[in-house]
Amino acid sequence: MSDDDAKQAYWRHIRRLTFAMTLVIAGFTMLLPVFMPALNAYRFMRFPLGYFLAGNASLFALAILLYAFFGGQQRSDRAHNVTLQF
Amino acid sequence: MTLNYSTPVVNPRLGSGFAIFASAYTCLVLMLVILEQLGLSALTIDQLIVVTPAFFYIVIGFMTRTVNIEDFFAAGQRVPPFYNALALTSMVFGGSILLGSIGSFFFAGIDAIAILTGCFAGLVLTGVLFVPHLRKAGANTLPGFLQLRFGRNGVRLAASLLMIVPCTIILIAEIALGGKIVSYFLPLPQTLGISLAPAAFFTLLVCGSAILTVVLGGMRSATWTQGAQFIVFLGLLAPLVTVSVMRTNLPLPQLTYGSQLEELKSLEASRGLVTVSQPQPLSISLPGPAPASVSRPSERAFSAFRPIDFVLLVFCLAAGVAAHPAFLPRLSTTPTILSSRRSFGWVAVIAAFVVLTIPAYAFFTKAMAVEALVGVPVPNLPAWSRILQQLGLISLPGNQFDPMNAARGVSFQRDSLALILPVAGGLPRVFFGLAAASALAAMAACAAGHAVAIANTVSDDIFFGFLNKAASPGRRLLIARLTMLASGVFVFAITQSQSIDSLRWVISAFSLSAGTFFAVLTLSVWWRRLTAAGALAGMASGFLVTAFYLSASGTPLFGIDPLTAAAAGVPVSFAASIFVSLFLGQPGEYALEAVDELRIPAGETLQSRALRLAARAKPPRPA
Repeated sequence: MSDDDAKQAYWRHIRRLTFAMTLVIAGFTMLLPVFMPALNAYRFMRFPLGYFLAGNASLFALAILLYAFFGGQQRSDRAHNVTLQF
Repeated sequence: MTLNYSTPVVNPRLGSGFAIFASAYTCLVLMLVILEQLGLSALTIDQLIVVTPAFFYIVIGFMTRTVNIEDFFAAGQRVPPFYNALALTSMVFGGSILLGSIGSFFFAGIDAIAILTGCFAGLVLTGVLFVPHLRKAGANTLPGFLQLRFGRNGVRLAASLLMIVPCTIILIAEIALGGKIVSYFLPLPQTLGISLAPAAFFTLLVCGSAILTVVLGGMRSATWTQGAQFIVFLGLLAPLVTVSVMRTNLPLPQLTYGSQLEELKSLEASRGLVTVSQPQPLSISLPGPAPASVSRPSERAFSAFRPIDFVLLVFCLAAGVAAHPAFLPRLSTTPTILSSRRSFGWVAVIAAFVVLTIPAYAFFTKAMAVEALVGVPVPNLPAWSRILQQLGLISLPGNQFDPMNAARGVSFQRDSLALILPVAGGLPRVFFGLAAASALAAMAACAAGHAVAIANTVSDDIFFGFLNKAASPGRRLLIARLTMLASGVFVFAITQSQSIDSLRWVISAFSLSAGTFFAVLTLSVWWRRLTAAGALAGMASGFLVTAFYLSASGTPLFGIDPLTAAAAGVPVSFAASIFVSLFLGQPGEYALEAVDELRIPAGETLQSRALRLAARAKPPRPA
């Protein structure tokens, strides 16, 4: 595989990863809140469920997913021999 | 091939420095608690707790003064990831967002979570879309990045001129808010023998101290004062945790404020407090700074904001924070490309903590205030309501002869609600000042960061990049410092001539950043075909459309509210960039090479390569 092909493959992988993560962010922060009124009929830890999911749980989910995303990027860096010198 | 990199050395004693600062601040608070018991007057306590941290910031700013260009513009690129994250978070959740969202939770109920979710989503989005690639460029400013990406000075100049607008708006909003908060604490200027209007005097103090912290050290001072300001900001937890233990027996307010929501719901039902429960367009339903009474339900979703406004507000803030030209330089202050990723990992954790804490603070405040004040006959009002009234934090209508009516008319001010909690909880007076010091710390962090961003772009992009490419480092520093002073004077003049709703101004500024830069930044990393002309067209059209839409009234287009103007600006900006890039010319060889380089998050940064090549091209000095 030539140098250019390797770069292409690496970039395709990174792009797919980023696209997926952007969708997840949009889903958690812009789609989930739309269902707040319906979910608020239930309660969790005395919070209205919809608010708890949209305002609290999704933030932690995003923080954890961001770590997973960076982990994925770094695995792909290693797999495609993009060495981080520092 | 081996390349030699000079990796900046991180100061190994940073941790102890911050630990000493945190201990000193804690000691100050504890000492004031003791002195209060010994009879120190409330006014002195207020002044000490508010003024001492500001004095600390100025000292830190003075200690980190520098004449080194790298230090001044990029904090020497040796800020460890964790501290970088602290600095960025305290800047994003500045005073306007902090106090504005507490107030919005208070008046608009849970819908206000849109503000915080938006800011948080913006930070995560930066991490996903831009982090390693913008760090790979290694530019000190956003226009600098675009210059490295396209190799065109025109793009750099345009971006620089456009980024000054949102940065200045936020700077004005923060300074105006700071002046308002300080006015609750400091003595009137007349008592000090200064003949200035009180508002002018307080704003001048806040503006002066914010500029003074960064004028000597630029980004370096901003970084370390913002770290200290985050520690002071955490002081907000002291009254919150105490009140949480008092009301729920658990010191975890972020997890227990659900009970306060339940209480509020039953209080609102039994006292008939809900008079408005239909959502309205965002411009109307977003609480304003004027005193108002509680009228909307606390925990009914979309009882204030319409669903479309909620979603678009999240979008505008997310895109705005992600592309905000004052936040992106934070990527370049980390020592390496890898550490910029680590830094954003920390940002996500710290920001999530802040975002969970703010609604807890707001709803504990609201539960206590509503329980004791709203709908309570005047004779039954607690003693602390008089203290709040004397401080000017709430207004109780004085009609003693119609007690029921009077009690219902208690009005609160959006931007000073954070100060109510310690008084309502019956905590020592210090905690009242502590809450204000936290808000002021957030304000100062945000203001200083924006002052630095403006100064850096004027000095680095406009002066050095365009007007005088042979300028000496000393001259560049001088220009940056003069810009800071000039922006301070300008901001002061504006705050004196306008009435400023800080939350609206900040949301508008983020809308403007989103409309101007989000599309161009995203495309410049993720679309190889983008040309310099396309970037220019995208920025200009996005800026114009967003600015026009912001000044519109009503909901002119598809029900989009003017405050969320970026929802109109971002698509236009994307369309213009893509159209111009596709149909007017090809990207140059330099741009294609640069974008390929950006995609590999390793090796030499574009900036240092440019410097190296420039140094090589220089003719040898005559002996």
